[in-house]
Amino acid sequence: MKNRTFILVLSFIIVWSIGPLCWQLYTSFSTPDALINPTIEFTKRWTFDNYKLVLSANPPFWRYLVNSLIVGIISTLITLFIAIPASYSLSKANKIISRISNYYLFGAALFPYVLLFLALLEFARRYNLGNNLLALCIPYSALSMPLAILILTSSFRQIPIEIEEAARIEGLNLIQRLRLILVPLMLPSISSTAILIFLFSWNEYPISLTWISNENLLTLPVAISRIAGSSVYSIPYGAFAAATVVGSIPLLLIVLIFQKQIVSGLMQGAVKG
Amino acid sequence: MTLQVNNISRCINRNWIIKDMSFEVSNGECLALLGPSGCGKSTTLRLIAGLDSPNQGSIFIDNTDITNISPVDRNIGMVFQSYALFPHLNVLENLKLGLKVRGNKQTEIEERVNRILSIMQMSHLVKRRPNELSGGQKQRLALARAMLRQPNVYLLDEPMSNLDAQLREELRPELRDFIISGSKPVVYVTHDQQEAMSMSNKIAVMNEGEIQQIGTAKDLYNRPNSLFVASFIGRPQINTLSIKNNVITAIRPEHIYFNSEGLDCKLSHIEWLGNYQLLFIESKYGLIKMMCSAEQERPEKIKISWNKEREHDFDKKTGKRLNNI
Amino acid sequence: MINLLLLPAFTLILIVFIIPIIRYGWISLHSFSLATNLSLIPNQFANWDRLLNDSRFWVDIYQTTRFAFVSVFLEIILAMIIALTLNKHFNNRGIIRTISLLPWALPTTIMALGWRWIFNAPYGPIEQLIRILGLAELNILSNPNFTWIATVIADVWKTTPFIAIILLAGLQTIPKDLYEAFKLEGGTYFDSFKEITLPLLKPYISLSIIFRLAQAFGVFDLIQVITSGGPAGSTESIALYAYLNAMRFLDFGYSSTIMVASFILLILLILVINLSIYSGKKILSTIKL
Repeated sequence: MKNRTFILVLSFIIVWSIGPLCWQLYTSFSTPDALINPTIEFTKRWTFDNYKLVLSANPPFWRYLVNSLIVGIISTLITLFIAIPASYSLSKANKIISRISNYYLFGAALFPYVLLFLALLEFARRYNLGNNLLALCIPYSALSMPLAILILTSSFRQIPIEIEEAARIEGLNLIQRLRLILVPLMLPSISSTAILIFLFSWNEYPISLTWISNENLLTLPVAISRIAGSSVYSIPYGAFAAATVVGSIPLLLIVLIFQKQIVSGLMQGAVKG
Repeated sequence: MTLQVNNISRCINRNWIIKDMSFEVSNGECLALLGPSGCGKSTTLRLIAGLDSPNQGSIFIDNTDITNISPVDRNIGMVFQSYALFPHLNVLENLKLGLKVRGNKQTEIEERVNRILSIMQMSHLVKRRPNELSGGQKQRLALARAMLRQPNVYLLDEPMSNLDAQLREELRPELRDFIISGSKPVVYVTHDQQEAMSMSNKIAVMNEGEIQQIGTAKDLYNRPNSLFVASFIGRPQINTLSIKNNVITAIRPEHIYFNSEGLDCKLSHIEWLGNYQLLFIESKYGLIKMMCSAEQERPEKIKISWNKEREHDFDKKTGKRLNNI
Repeated sequence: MINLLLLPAFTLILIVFIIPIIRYGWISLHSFSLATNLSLIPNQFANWDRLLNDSRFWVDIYQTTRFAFVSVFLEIILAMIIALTLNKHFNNRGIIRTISLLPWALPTTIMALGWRWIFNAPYGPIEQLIRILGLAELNILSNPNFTWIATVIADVWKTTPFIAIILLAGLQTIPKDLYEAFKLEGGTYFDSFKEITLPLLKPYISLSIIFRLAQAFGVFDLIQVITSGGPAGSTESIALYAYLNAMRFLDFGYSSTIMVASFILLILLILVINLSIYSGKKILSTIKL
């Protein structure tokens, strides 16, 4: 590629990726009048009202952030707690078991989980799990499990077998080997897996939509879509944009801080597949 | 202490990796397992360590059957080919870990670790992680970790193969001291015959999961009991000629000399190797290698000969030795 | 013994993935709705009969498949461009990589609403731009012929980074000296892309295609938020139709039937894709010969 083409492509990527985000940011600071007439005079152009509105709403907007945070963190912990030992044993399994497991996991990871919502809703009704943030973590963990196990298994396989054998000879039992040797060695891929699970749980919509109806327990995506649904014909776009900006900040931080881990986690998942 | 291996076999997917193998190593003795790659020497070590279990046979340390004991309770010191140091722990933590999980007292751990650190001259390196150590330092750390628990048996799996040739030569005396000073049975796996000869008192030559011959380096060189051992030990490789029916006659290149009444030959080409030269000679029995000093002058008419007692005769079919010297 | 550690994970996956599918199969053979007082009454294949004659279902299948194929096609091309760009060494590559990853990390619902505002007529930026250029109003969200394109754009924007990362992973497995050797042979950049990059990237491309097609086939949040299936049902997807049947019409029997049917169709789709990837390879090799 020539240098000029390269810069052109690069600029396109940047504009394409963050253009819509910038538009949201712009909207969130604009007065309703400014949105209708962009050439309005400067003093009536900018405002913080949208943010004031979002932060002073009832229930306050930060509650949804907290709800999503709780669900995200707990789902991530549950998934890792189950997936790490499972991946360890899968990395040691014989050919037949690991092939069958791979089909099982890959099939599940491929499945468009939206189609599961009805059965899961029935499940929630039967065991009275609706309107309960902790209960919501069960399907979230299960849904992230296949991908988590696939990624972690491939990174367990990358640890030289001699390291674990040396630990066995040193006298470490299975739990000690996992805790003192293997998990510390896998920390990079565990953290990238954790971020992927967290992102999934933070963004999940259909299950949260059907399991949670109590206003105080809504997760962020559902709460935001409710803003849209509240008035079909005239969405309060300024306030809504402010809400999306506030709701995106935690994720922007995560992506900025953990960019490397996310990329390596996804790449590992890809290389194994 | 004595390590006894009795008729062990190991089978994976109906392939016999180890077939009916037996040997004994006593205190202060070092047995080298020597063979081409894939001959089962590393597997043998893993069986002794308890990382794999044999399908048949038994392993004894000091008359105690350890065949079905977990590796933890065998008290074995092992040095891996890759050293298998724990990459996320520093030198000190690498050494302490095993003692800690075995429930030793803190003061005792400190004392033992410090003693080994000073023996290995690594006291100034305690804070370093394995990837901050040189190849030789890594090897010493691996040895230190193995020695620390005062094991009953030492198992060394190609401990030199990760070092470059020069460092290997430098470290050889060091490793030798360690082996002798341990006064414990040592099993040393290598594919390098020079290393096997210089590090061990006994060598077991292995091929396809079986021990071909056990003996001192001299025994193996002077009196190989099979064609495989004869060809495997000694460089340049032994000449194999078909002089008699159904017999393969083997003569080492260094035992061939010019003799005006010998076999009529033609010189093919010469390899100069500094202190000696290797002559490739065409004869009616095929190509013969002859080794002689670099200064040796060649006669105009090449005629070679060798002493009858230097001949090794092997059965063409079984490869077993026929004549006795 | 150690395989026992797989048990909790596999049980959980069984409960959440396998049992629901079996349960749908079972429910699809029953009347199960508000009309039956939410009890299961066997009705043989009445649900399936209805499904086969339900033109809305088949239209939705068509619309969903069209959405999936067009989105994934565009995503692969765009992702390839991004991956090739990010695979080069340049200053601030990390920042660009982070920027290009952002759309994927944000919740679909949030950005779907964002896109709805962008496509808004007459105040969204696109309509404003069109007005400045003096062109006719596009009104993309209320024109049944074009609205689906808006959903495709939003989906491409959201999921391209994911594919780009997978392709980038693939690119980084290709040894650099292959390109150097090719250059010595006198090949151009585009030749090397065709002869080296594309063939070696094939497993990653087919992985992305299959994974993304399956996901796009179940598209739900995006469409519900941007168009709610409208205008005139022109963007309704299978998952949305199943959702409406269950949550609005409270006909769980029929909703389950739709889900089983779309599951079966999805498997068929993936099989066809797999086959075409294979036979495609054969066709290519015969052309070369």
